Amino acid sequence: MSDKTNGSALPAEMKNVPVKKITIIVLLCWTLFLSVSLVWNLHHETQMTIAQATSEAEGHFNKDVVYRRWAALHGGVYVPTTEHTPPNPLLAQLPERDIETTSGRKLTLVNPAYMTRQVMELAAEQYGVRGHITSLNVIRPANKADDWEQQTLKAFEVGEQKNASVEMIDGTPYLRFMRPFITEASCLACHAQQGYKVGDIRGGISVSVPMDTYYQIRRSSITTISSWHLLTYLFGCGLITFGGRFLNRRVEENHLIHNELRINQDRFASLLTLAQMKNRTEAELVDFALAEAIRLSGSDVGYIHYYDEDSKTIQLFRWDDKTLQDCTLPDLSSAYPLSESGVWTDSIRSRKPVIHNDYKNLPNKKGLPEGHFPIDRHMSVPIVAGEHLVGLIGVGNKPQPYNEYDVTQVSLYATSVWEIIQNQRTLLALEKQEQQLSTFRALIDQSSDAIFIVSTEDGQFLDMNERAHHYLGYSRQEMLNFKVLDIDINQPENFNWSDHIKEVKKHRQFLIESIHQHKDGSLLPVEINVRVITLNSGEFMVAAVRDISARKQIEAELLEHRLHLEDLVKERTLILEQRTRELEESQETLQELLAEVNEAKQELEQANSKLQELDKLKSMFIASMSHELRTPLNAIIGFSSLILNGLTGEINEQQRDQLDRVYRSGRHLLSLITDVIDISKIESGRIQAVPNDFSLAELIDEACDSLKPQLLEKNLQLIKHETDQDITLHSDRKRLLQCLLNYLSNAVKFTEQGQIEIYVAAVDNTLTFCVTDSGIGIRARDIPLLFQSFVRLDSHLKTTTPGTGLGLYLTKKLVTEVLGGTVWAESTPGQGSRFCLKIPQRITS
Amino acid sequence: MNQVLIIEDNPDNLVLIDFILKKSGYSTLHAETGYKGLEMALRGHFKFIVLDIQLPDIEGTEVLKLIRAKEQGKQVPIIAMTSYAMSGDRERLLAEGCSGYIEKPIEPLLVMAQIDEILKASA
Repeated sequence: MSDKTNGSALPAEMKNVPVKKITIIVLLCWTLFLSVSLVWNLHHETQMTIAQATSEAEGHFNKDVVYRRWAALHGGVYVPTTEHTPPNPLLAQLPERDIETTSGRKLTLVNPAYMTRQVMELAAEQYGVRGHITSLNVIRPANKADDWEQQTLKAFEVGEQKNASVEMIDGTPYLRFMRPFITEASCLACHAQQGYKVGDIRGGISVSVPMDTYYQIRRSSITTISSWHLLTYLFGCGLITFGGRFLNRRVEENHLIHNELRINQDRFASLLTLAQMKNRTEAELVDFALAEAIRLSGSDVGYIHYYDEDSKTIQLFRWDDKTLQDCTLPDLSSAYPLSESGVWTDSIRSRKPVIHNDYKNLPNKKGLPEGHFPIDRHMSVPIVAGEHLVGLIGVGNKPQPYNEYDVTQVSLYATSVWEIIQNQRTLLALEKQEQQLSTFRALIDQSSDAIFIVSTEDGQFLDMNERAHHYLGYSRQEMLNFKVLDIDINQPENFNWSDHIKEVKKHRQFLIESIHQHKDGSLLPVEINVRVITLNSGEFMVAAVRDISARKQIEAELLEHRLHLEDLVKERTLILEQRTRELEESQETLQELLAEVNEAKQELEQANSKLQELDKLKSMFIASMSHELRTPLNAIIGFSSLILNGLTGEINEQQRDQLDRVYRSGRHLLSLITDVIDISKIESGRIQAVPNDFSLAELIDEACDSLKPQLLEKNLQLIKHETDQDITLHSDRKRLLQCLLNYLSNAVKFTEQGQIEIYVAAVDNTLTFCVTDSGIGIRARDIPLLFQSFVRLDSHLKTTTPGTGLGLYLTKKLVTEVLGGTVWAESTPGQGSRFCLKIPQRITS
Repeated sequence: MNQVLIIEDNPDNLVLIDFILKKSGYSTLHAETGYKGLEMALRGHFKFIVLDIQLPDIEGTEVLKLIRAKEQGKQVPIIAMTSYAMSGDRERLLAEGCSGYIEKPIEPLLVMAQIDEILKASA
């Protein structure tokens, strides 16, 4: 219900605006923008610096060209000959290189190149600007081009018009500028001899302007630009961060407002739901309210206790399901005094909501009982109905501290729930009353008595049940118009209603018989029970009228019956007395009989113990006999074996044959004795299983091993079909081996050719072991005889095969009585037999 | 020391075991009663003693107990030979200090192997 209203106040995307992310992206963009701007500005500044230096260099160049042109136009100029300006040796061929003025002053011709060089030297000295006239083809060797100039000149030859770049000269940066120098007419005076014509590129003038000054300017500019950028950047960052924070706060505030709104909606919806829960039981309502109180206050657990102001006891009404799961306290349902309860009931004592946000460290806390889950925070609110305290509702373990909102919420809940419960209780009580009333009315209507409410003033009928108008044949409406005297005709002549009422009021209740008249005129004998009752609106009479015509008749009949009954009772009493006497006699006889039975029982017990004694004697006799019988056998078997095996010297064939008969007879006798002893032990119950754990596979191996000589002798094959996994049995190994050996040796005895197979199957907790042979087989009618004692079946092998007739009997006894299993056999004559036993894998002793 | 003491009252059985032991290279001394056997066992030095359990004067188990009670009788191997085949006999004998147990009737071809095995186990 509350989930549906989620997020309706605010679109969901508003809650998820990633303000921080956006702020970081804007900051990154701002950083990128200013970085680009700074780089561009610095680059521009460098370009400007070079452009300015180039411009200066170009100025120098132009000036040099103009000087040179001017000098060339004049074919050179004469200047006084000084140490600094000696006559140019390259002009020595000119007749008028050195002249003398009339005043005797010596002048020498300075050609344009000479002049330019001197001017350049002057400029270099005074301004640091170096000039250099050069060519790939110089007249004066000192004018030879350096590397940079040579490259530039070569570039001019292929059409370049100028070259400018920053280069290092003697470790100092210079802007070097160079332009081609074009041959003019005036140049030919000196350079025609080299073959130049007007318009040819004769060489170039390079100008080198020191960059120091420009670099200084540039540095200052860079500093300024960088500073401004930094300032702008920081300012921008500040603005963005501030804006981001502001936005973030707004979004968070929105969030909080939204959450508050949602919670309020939720709470409102929940209250509304509660208010609409009309047709629920009180327990359901309380459960709902408790669950909602827990949910809306963000708590983990909660409870509602009733409080009884009169006895000052509290009683648990409901804990939420989770609390019940976590709590292992024994009995929580009984009421106990408020004084014994802990701080959690402070809200009842103080009649105010109580918040414990640090429950564990409360100073006056009693401590939780054993098995109670831990409480971190707790809040409880009293439930008040008018002036009365009726209980408390508490919640606990909210992750955050409880606050006033929670108190308000839970209080609202407590009050609302209590109001609804009160209303329901009232409603229920009313319904019950109404129901009772209608039941009561129905009861009265169905009464076989006619019941009237009668006015004491004049005997007017005011109300009546159904029976009341039926029994006289009137309708209800007709009856309501009647007074008592209209139907009651058994009144004395001087009857006065008000006197009658006085009498009635004096007794308050009385029973009279009277006669009422039916609508058809017939008369009914009636019995009237009158009672005066006081209701809100005054005193009334209630009269219950009973038709007693039937009763009158029955009364007469009853009297007759009673007389008859008395006779009957007398007669019966006599018979009963006689029967009692008979019973006593037969009881005496029975006791006598019982005594006889007891006597017989004692005799029987004596006989039984005598029998047991005899049995013991028999067993002792057999044990002793067996020893006595085995002692001579030791000599018989021992000596015959010695002689047969040639230990006492050679014997002839006849002797060997006869002695062999002695030896085998001895062996046979021994096995007979052993079997007889075993059987007697089993029959006297003196063999008990001696169980221990052993491996089935090893047991089978042992059985097979001891059978090997006989198998070899008859050339029979033994095939084992064992289980996949070895089984550990807990049984009597010796006895089980004895049984297996008996089956196997029987199989060998009665099989002439073919094979003997062993099958082992472990199912559930049983083990089935079968031996199948390809021997002579057994006739179906003989199978039931197999496991009986001293039975040897007829066959052509009977005489040649040794046997006692006890082997299978003993096996059956061992399997059934010692190992707790069963045996059976199947056979097809001429094809073979199958002998099986099935025992539990574990003997339980 | 290759001497064996045979305590056995039945002359047939005595001859049988005597023959087999001698055949295997032992020399033998005989006692027909328990007390005589006890006396000889404590006096002489035997490789081992063959003891019948049913004797005319005292039970072989008693003889066994008495031999084992004396210092000089603690070490000598004693092999019981009996036709008592009740369950628990073997355990009782071994508990009294018997070195081994051979059931009668004996199988002459196997008995020496049985004796050797018992001697090896008690060594």
